[in-house]
Amino acid sequence: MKRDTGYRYLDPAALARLQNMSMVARGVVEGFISGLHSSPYKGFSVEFAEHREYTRGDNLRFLDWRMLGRTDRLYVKQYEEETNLKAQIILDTSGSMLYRHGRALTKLEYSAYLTAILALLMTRQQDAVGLTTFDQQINLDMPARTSPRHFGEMMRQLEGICAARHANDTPTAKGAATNISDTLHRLAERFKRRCLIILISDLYDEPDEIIRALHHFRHKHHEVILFHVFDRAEIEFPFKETARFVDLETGERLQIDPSYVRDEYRRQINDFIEFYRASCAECQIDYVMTHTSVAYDLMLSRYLSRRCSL
Amino acid sequence: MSFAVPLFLLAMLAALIPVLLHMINLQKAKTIPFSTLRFLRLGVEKTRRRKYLHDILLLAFRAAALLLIALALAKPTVTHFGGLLGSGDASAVVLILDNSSSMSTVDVGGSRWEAALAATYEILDRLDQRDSVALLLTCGPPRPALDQLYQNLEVVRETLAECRVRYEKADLLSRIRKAESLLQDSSAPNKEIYVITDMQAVSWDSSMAAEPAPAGQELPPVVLVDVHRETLANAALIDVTLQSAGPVAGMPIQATVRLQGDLKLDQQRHVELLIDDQTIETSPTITIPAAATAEHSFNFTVDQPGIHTGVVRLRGDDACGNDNQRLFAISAARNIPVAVIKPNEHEISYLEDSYYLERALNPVGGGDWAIQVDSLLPGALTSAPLRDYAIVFCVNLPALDAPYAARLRDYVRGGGHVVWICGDNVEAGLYNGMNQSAGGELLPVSLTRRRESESSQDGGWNIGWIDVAHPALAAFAQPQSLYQSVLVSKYIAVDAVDQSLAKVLAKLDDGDPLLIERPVGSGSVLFLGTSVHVAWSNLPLRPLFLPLLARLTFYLADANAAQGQLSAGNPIPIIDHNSDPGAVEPDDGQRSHELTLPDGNIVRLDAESDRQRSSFADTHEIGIYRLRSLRQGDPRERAFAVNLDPHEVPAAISAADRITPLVGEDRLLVCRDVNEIESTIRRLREGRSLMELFLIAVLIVLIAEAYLANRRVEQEQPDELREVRSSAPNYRRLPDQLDKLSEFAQP
Repeated sequence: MKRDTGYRYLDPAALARLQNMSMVARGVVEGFISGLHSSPYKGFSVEFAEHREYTRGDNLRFLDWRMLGRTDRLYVKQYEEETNLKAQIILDTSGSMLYRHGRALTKLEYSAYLTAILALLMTRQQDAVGLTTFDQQINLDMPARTSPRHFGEMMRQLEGICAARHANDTPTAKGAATNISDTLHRLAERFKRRCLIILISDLYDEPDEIIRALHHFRHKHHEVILFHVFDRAEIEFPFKETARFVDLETGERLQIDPSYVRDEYRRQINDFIEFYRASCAECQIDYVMTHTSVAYDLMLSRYLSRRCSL
Repeated sequence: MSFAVPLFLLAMLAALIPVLLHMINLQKAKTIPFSTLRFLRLGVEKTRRRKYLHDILLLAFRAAALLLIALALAKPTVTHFGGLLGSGDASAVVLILDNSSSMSTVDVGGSRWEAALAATYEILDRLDQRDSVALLLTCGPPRPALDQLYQNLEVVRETLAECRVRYEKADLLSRIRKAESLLQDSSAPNKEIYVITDMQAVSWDSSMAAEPAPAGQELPPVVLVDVHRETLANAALIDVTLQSAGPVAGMPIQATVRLQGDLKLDQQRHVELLIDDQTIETSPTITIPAAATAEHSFNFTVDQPGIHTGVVRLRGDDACGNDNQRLFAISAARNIPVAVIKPNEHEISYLEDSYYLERALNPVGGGDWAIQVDSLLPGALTSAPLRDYAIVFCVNLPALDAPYAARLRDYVRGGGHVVWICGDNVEAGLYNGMNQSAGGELLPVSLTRRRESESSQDGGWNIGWIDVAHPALAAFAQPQSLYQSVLVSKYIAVDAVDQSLAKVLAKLDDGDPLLIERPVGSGSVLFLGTSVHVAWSNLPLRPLFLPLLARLTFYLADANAAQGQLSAGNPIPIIDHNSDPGAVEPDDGQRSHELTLPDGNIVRLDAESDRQRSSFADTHEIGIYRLRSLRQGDPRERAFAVNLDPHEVPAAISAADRITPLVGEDRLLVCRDVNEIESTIRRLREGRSLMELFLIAVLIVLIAEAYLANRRVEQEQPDELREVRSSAPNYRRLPDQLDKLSEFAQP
C-alpha cells in the first residue's frame, strides 16, 4: 500500500521508534563526504583546522591539552576528516522467502520492511545506500547513493519486486530457487571500495558455501551484517495433522505426519542456526537471527543499540 | 466355537472401518506449502520405522476392538478347550415329552407329534454314551419304570417308539419338578431338562407354578423345544349337556352340544348325533364364529331301559381329529322306585297320612308309570333293601330308634335320598335326638317347635317364596299364585339354617323355612315342615302338589347323573351304592364291583369298606366305562363316558416370555425349530459363554489404544504459536512522521 507521502514498506511508527538511532560503521570505511565514519584517507583537512568547544560526547582523543593548560577550558581540535558510509543491502527474494504461517508477514515482506527502514536511516545520516536483490541470479542492482531521490527509486523498485513475487504466491506455486553463495561471490568482486554489506536472507542454501562467500566479503575488508530471517513456524514446526508439504522453491512434495518428524526437524533447524551463528562470530560478521513474529523495528532498535554500545 | 446370534458376525466387517478411514485420510491430506523440505526429509528418514510400527499397532488395536465387539455380540461359546471348562463330562438328561391331546394337531408342515418325536430322537442322537437319560411323558398311565435315568439309550428309544398321543391335559411344571428331583439324585456334572411341547397355554396352568424352587439348589437348565407351527383351521366339541325330566325310558332328553371355533376363522360345520351306533339326527349348518363358541340342541328319547351310548360328532376333517367327537351315556330305568314309609295302615285309605302322596307319585296306581311306589311301615326299615329305592319318603313317622336311624343314614351316605314329611307324630325334641344318634346327618336342620294357626279365620300361613333357581322348582316361577295359594295351618319350625350345610327351597310368608335340602355323602335329606294331608295344609288339594312331587322325585333320582361324564385321566368314583349296613361284607379277595373298559376288558374292583367309596384311576382311554356292583341283589349298572379334556382343544399358545417366570429367568432356552436343537445342545454341553471374556478383551484393547493414541497426542503438543504481527505501517497513528518522510517522497 502506498500513500501519497510514504512508501509501502516504510512504516512511520517504526521510524519514530528508530529516529534517534544511527547506523555507524564499526570499521574504517571509504567515504566521499564528511560523515560519522572514520576514513582511511588524509585529505585537505587532515591537518588542524580549528578549535571547537568540547561538548559532551566528544572523543577525548581530540581534546587540546595545551589549550586546556593555557586557558583552563576544554577545546577539541578538528583536523582529521570524517567520511560518509557506503552501504549495500543485499536482499534474498527466492521462493522460500515467500513463506508465511497463518496471517503473519511473508519473510520477503518482513525483509522489505527491514530494508526500507535501514535505507532510510542511512540516507538520513548522509550515507550512501544501494540495493541488490537476487534469487538464482541478481535481479536488481542499484549502486549506493545518498540522495533522497535515489531512496525513493530504491523503494519503488523494492515494492515492484515484492509485488511481482507475491503475485505468484499461490500455496503450491513453484518459486525461484536460490543461489546465494555464487551471488555473494559475484558481488564481493564487484564492490571495490570498502563498504557495509547488509545481507537479508533465510540462507536456505549450502551453509559452507555461504560462509565461504561471506569470508570473501571480509577478505575485501567489507563489514558484513547478516539478518537471518525465519518464520516462527519454521523454527517450531507447529503442524499437527498429516499433510502433504510442498517445497516453495523446488515444488517437491512430501507426505508427513508432523508428530513423528517434529523433534528431528527442530534439532536440524537449531543446528542450522547455530552453524551460522558460530561461523559469523568467527569471521566477525554481525549475525542477527529473527523471525517474522518479532516486530522488526524492535529487533532493529535492540540491534543498533547493542552495536553502538560496542 | 459356536455362536448364539451368528448374524452379528457380519458386524466383523466393521473392522475394515479403521483401515478405510486411514486410507481416506491419506487421500484427504492437506497440502501445505513450506519453505524448504531439506530438514523434513531427514526427519522422515529417521522416524519412518517408528511411525510405521505405531500406525500398524494403532490400526490393529482399533480393528481388534471392533472385531471383538462383533464377536461378543454374536454370543460365542467355546468348544476347543471344553475339557478345561468341564464340557467333556457326562450329562444327565431328562426328556419331558408332551403327549397331551393337542399334540395330535396337524399344523402347516406336519403333525406336532411327529415333530416332537423327531426332536426327541434328535436330542437322543446328540447324547454321548456316557450320558444317562430319562423320558417323562405328561399324559397316559404312570410308568414307574420310566421314572429313572438310564445309561442305555436304547431303552428310551424303545419306549419312545411305543408312545402315543393321549387325551388328557398336560401339566408340564409338575413334570419339570419331577425331572429336577430325578436330576438332584444324579452325580453327573452336567444336568439338562428338555421339554418338547406345543407350548399350549393350558399345559402351564399348574399349582406348581406357585411353588418356589428349593432354596440353595442349583437348578438345571431347561430347553424348551417348541413344535407348534402355523395352525390350520379347527373346530372342537367341548361339551355335551343332557337334560331330561327323569332318568326313565320314554322321557324326552335334550342334548346340548357346545362347539368352540377356530381362533381366526368363522366356520360352518354339521354335527350328528348317534345313539347306540344309530344316527339319530344331523344338525343343520352351524356357524361357529372365530374365537367363540356355538351351541346346538338335539331332542330324542330312548324307549328301552338300560344303558345307552351316545356320540356327538363333528362332520368333516380339520386340524385336530381328537376333539371332533364326544361320548355320553344314558342310564334309563324302567321307572323310579320310591318307598313311602307311613306310621300305620288305616282301614279308610284316605285317612292315611300318605294317601295324597302315593296318588300324586303314581296316579295310575300300577307298574306302568314312571314312578313305582312301595308303601311300607316303619318295621320294614329293618328288612327292606333300601338300596333298591331311589328315594324314601318318611311320612309323619315317630322318631326312629337308633339302629333304624343309622341304617337310614348309611343309605343316604351311599347315594340315597330321604324326604321327611311332618305330621302329628313328629316331635321336635325326639327328632333332634334321633338326628343326633345318626351323627347329625339325618335332618337338614334342628327342629324347634310345632306352630299352629291360632284361629280358623285367618287360615294360617301361605307359601311366600320358593327358590326358582333350583332345578326342581324352576318350573313354578310363574304364576306366583301357584305356590302363594298354598295355605299352611300347622308346621314344624326349625332353627336358623346353616347356609354352608343346607339350603332353603321354600319359605312361608312369615319367613320360616318350609322345605329344606341338605346333601349328605352321595345322597341328600329333605325336610318338609308341614304334612301332605289336609289336616295341616291345603297343599294336597292345590294344583302345585302333583307336579311338585313329580319334579322333586325326578330331580332326586337324577342327581347322580352328572357323575356320568368325566375327562380322560380323572378317576371314576366307585360307590358302594345303597350298601346295606345289615348285609354281610364280602370276604377278603371278593370283589365288590366289576368295570367294563371301552376295549371290552373287565376289571374287578373292591370298594373301601370304611368310606364305601373308591375310584378307578386308569381312565386314560376315552370311551364308555360300565360299572356293575357284584353284591347280591344289587343289579344296578352305571356308565361313565370318558372324553377328551375340553381344555386340550388346540387353542391359546403360550408365549415363551410367559413361561420364563414359571421356570426360572436364567435357566430357560427356547428352540423354535428342530434345527436349533443341535446348536443349543452344543452351547449347553460343549461350551461356556465367551461374551464376558470378549468384552473384557475389548476393554483392554481400548485402554491400550487410548494409551497409544494419547502418548502420540502428548508428543504432538507444540508450544502454541502466538501470532505476533510484525509492526505494519500505521499512518494514521503517527501523522507527524509522514511529514518527516516528505523529503524522501517521490516528486
